[in-house]
Order: sequence, then structure tokens, then C-alpha cells
Amino acid sequence: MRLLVIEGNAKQRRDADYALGYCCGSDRYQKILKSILPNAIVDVAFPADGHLDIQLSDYSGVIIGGSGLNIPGNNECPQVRHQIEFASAVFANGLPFFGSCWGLQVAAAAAGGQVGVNPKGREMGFARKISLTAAGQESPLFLGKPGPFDAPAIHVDEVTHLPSGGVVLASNSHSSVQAASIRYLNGEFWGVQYHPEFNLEHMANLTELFDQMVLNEGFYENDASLKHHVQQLKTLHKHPTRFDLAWVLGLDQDVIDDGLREREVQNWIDHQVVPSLA
Amino acid sequence: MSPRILVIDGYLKKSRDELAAGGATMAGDQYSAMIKQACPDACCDIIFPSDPGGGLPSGTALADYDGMAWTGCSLTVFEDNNEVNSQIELARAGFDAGVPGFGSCWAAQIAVVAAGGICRANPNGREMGIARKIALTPEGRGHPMYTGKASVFDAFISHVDEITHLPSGSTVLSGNAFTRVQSVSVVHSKGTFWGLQYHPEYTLKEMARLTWCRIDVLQKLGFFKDRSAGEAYVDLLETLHNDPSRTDLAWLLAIDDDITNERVRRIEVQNWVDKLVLPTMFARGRME
Repeated sequence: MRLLVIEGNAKQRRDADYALGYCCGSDRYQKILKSILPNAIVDVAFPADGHLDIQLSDYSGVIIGGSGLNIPGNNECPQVRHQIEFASAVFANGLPFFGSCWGLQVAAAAAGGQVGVNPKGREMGFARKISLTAAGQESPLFLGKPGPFDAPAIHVDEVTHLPSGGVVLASNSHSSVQAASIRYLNGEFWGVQYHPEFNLEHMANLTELFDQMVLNEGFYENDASLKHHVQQLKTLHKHPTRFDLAWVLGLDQDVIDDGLREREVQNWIDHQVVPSLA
Repeated sequence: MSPRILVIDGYLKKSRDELAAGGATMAGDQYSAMIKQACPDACCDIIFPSDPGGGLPSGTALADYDGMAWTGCSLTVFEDNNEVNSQIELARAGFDAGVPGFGSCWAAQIAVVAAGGICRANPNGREMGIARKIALTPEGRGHPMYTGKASVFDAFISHVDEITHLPSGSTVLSGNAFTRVQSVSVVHSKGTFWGLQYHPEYTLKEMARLTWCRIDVLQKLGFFKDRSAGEAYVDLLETLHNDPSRTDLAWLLAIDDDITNERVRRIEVQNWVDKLVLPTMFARGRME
């Protein structure tokens, strides 16, 4: 089986990640997919660097991950336009299609929906109390997921208008579209606004990478409190049994436990990718 | 006539003194203030049934009251002793007199036991600080106590026991991953009791003082690495209490509007007054 992961960020941002010793969102997806499907070939493509010339029929599924890019106001920007065009091609091909954060927004835009800036501002760190809609409770995407759940999140844009083939699967008080399925052309996309692929270390790294931005937005009193929080997240990542840290930060197994947090990816493979191979 | 509410503070005197020494407000006073916030006309009598002679004020009967509001308590409802048994009896008498009941934590447990249900130690251990992701059941979503409340919310909490078996006539209104019964409606004999496992009466300051009083126990249970971590946490809660504009702290500690906004946190109390106490007063002919 061959799967394709789309890295939403351009080279400049990826270089910034690697320079600090961090990994990219696509690296996280590669790692997760290889642990779920040890024999699968996972390719990564970079449409933010230029137009993609990819033979989609070589693949059994496509995932679009996060990106620091923004759709609102940038529809004509080539880095954005290439990705929306690519998403349209995936829909036309009918391949199993999954996305998180930017991936959800790109798929929604490709299918005729709209993306805007969330009037509540950035949802940072962990999206709290995400609950499933009636359609979400029926969807295999959430099989094995506990009641309402928290999830890693970092976004300032959101899907404001789903296209006619879209159904909201989950929401919370910050973002009404925390998950959606979108039928368009020959395909069906499943996506989430949060990041099942981010572990605590990745969230700590992003906090450091965007330290000035999150400080300016008021998430921390000062640089010392940011560094302290980053350290807490990294410690909890290394020692998931540090109940004291998890408790103070209000982090439950839905975020800490890899299998539970990544459940949506596993479910997409089990219920979309694998059946499509038959 | 203004509603007359019996506030029942079941704590032993020793426990009340211990909490007061740690800077916490007495549970009965917290409850009276919360009831008066929801119903400024209400007249609250506080009693201490665990004290010798701590029954109803002389010259009053349960039928003189329009509501019974129970605070939390550090007793264990499935232990057989006078302090516990007398409160179970009082709750039964409340049901028989048809006086609307309401209460937090211990109160929900006592109502369930009085009506024939069972409580035991929660196998998950102590749930402390903030009960996360409490979700309304379908029955809870349609229940008058939750009109205006979100379907998923957090709430202040501190308990080790939980309701394990409901008597017939009871309905689970909410639960979370830690505790299956986070709220319950108990309809028994002539009365109705709305009980919460969590504590809408607490403020961040009261939660901080309670935590401070229990730091050593909490450290043993693994909530704090050491005493100074506990003190630092208490300090964060008090800083946020004194300066609600510190949204950075609220975000860090995952304390949302459902905790910090008092109207949202206590909507169950407002609904109890508006939708159970006042209508029952009317039905009993106690409203002029």
C-alpha cells in the first residue's frame, strides 16, 4: 500500500523547524502511518513549494496536515492555490482523503466551502471539550474515542461555511467545526480541525517556534512562564505517568495516550483506506 | 411570603474548625450566600446535624421550609455512625415532607442512600480540583435543572466516594470519564431532590483554600510532586481569583468560562429555585 502525505508548509518554514531540531507535521504523519501499517510506503509531497505533478492512481489514500498558511485573503497566493487545486484533484480521483487543521480547511475550500478568521481568536494548545454531533456519533471516524474529548490544536482560521456535501461531526465552544466529512465529486473527505498527529513534545516545539506570536496574543504572562510551560509539556511527554503534571495542566489520556489521540487516523485507515483496496 | 430554606452543613465541628483555620469559608455560609444570590428574598437557616443538638431550630418543623440545601461533607455515607445515620434520617424526613432538596457532593450521595440507593469508594480514586468534561445524559439535557447550561462542562470537585446504585425513581443527569454519576434527580416518597457530585458553591478562592488544607494528603496521592508544587498551585488559583483578567492563567490551567463565570457555574441553583422551589411553594399554598 502506498499513501501520500501532503506537507502544507513551504520550505522556509520547514527549514526553521529542522534548524531547531524539530520535525514537521508530515514527519509526524509518516511516523504514525508506519506504526499502523509497517509495510506501507509513505511519500511526502510539498505543494507549497510549487505545482505538484503526481500520479494519484499510485496511491491508496491522501492526508493533508497542518500549515502556517492562511486561506482567508490569500486565495490567489500560489502556495495556497496549488494546495486547493491539488485537493480538488484528490476529490475528482475519489481516493480516501483525510486532513487535519489546514487539511480540513483546504478540502472545504476545494469543495466550495468557505474559511474565515475565527472571531474568538486563536485556539491554542488544546481544544477542550470537543463533543460529537449526532452525525459524529454515527461516524466510524470516532470509534473507540471517549465521550467528549480534548485534542491538540493550534489555529486561528476555521471553516465558516461547509459546502453542500459537508456534515459537521464534532464541535466545541471555540470552534463549531472541529470535525467534518465532505462529499464532493467522486470522493469523500474526513477531517478534523485539531491535530491528532501532534504529541506533547510537538506542541511544546511549536510553542517555542511561535513564542513571540503567542506572547503577543496573551497566552503567557512573560517569556519565563512560556519556557516553564514548554518544559512541563516536554517532561510530561518523556514521563507520561507524571500524573501531577497532567492534573495541573488539565490533560487527560485523550491527549497523552498516543493510541487514543491518534484514533481518528487509525479509524480512517480501517474504514476508508482498507475497504477501498478491495 | 419569601422562601425559607434550610441549609444543612453536615461537617463535624473538628472539620469545620480545620477548614476555617486554613482560610476557607464555612460550607453552610458558602451555601447560604449562593442561595441568596439566586433568590435574594430567601431566608436561610443553617443547621449542623453532626453537632450534639444540631437538629432543626427550636419551634420549627420541616414543613415550615420551602427547600433543603445540603453542603458537601467529609463524612463517609456508607459508614454506620450517628452523624451519618442522623443525616440519612433527615433526608428521608425531607422526602416524606415533600420539601424540594438540592445539594453538592455528599448531598447527592445522602439523597440516593436515603431513597434506597448505594454509594461506595470510587475505584478511580480521588477526583480533585476540576471535574473535566462532564456530559449531560439525554435525560439531563431535557431536565429543568440544566436549562441554559452547555451539554459538556467542567466543575469544581473534591470526592472519593461515588453513587454506584440508584434507587428506582432516580435519573442520572450527567457523568464524566472519572465518575459516572455527576448529577442525579431523586424522586422518592413525596419529594424531589436534585443532587450534584460537583460544587457550584466553590469559587477559585474556596477551591484554593480547600486545596491548601489538603496539600499533604494530595501530595501523598500524587497530585503534587512536593509541598512547594502544591503551594504554587494554590497561589495560581488565588492569583486568578483576585484578577480574573489573567486569561493566561485560566488558559494554562484549563479553567474555562464554565468555572469562572459564576452565572454559568451556578445555573443549576438558579434553576432549582425557579423551577422547583417556587413552583412547589405555589402548589403548597405558601405563596401569597
